[in-house]
Amino acid sequence: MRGLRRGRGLSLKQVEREAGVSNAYLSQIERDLRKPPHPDILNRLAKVYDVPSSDLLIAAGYVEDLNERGITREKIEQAFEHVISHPKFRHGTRLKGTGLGLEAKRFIIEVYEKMKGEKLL
Amino acid sequence: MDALVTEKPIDSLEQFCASVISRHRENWPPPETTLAHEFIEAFSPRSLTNTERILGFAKSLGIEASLSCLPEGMHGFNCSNEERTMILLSTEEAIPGSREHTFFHELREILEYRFRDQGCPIATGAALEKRAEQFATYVRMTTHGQEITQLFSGAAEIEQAWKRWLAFAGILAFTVGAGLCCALLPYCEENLRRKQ
Repeated sequence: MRGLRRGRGLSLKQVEREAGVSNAYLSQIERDLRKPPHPDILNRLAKVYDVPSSDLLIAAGYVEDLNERGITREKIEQAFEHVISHPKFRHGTRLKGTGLGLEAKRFIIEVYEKMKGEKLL
Repeated sequence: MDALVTEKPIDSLEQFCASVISRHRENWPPPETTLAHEFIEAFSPRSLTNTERILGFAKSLGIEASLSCLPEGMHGFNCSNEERTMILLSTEEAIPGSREHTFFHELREILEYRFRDQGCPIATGAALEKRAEQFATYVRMTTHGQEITQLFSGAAEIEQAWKRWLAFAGILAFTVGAGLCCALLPYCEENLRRKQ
């Protein structure tokens, strides 16, 4: 985290202003004195550091690294096709902007897996 | 309206959809505001100004609702299969009222599945998204309006004239603000997204 911040030439105060996370807390996270922050905070920090939020979520242990498990974009797209073609599984979302990203598709697949007890990924 | 009053109490979304279909079969689909109005008549949702109210109302409809850390850009998510209907709402709420709006949006999509199941779909894709936004806005404005009416009734009982008028003025200002918040919420969210 410190490397990301310094790499962008940002001070703790600047990150505090842009992400709405206190600089004292940020400093503790950077020194591994606190547990990994809540995913919402990581999402905000990812925006400030201009990195995919999945990178921070993986680093914090919230999300598995898909590449390590050999889960490719193609595999996710295939599984998603399976989910949306299921006649009894209906879903909808309210999105900012348009279109479902890969992360959103994977999320929907995971919900489907839990609901149907079927492993797709 | 008389028909609504004389009907049996509606205790599920399926029954509600069936009753909407029977009332509007000749002129299908009904305007979104009509559907939202009939939904309010049937289920009397209070304004869902906090999460507990949202989750409680969902439970009363047989929907499992919860807060969840949703992927970037997703305000809410709904899904259903034969046995379960779920609504997941983002733990993040950038604009006050966004979670309540999203809940009613997701609920409208769930109603759409019920209409489809009964052979009377109303909309799909972008048209459904648009209608769900209208539905959520209308339901929120109406339910908030009902609560504001109660505030006016309370203020009318204040004995001292100047205090009463002051209360009226305050409630009026609050009403205008609340109405604008409900109506403009989707635009505010979109602007915020663009800025981000």
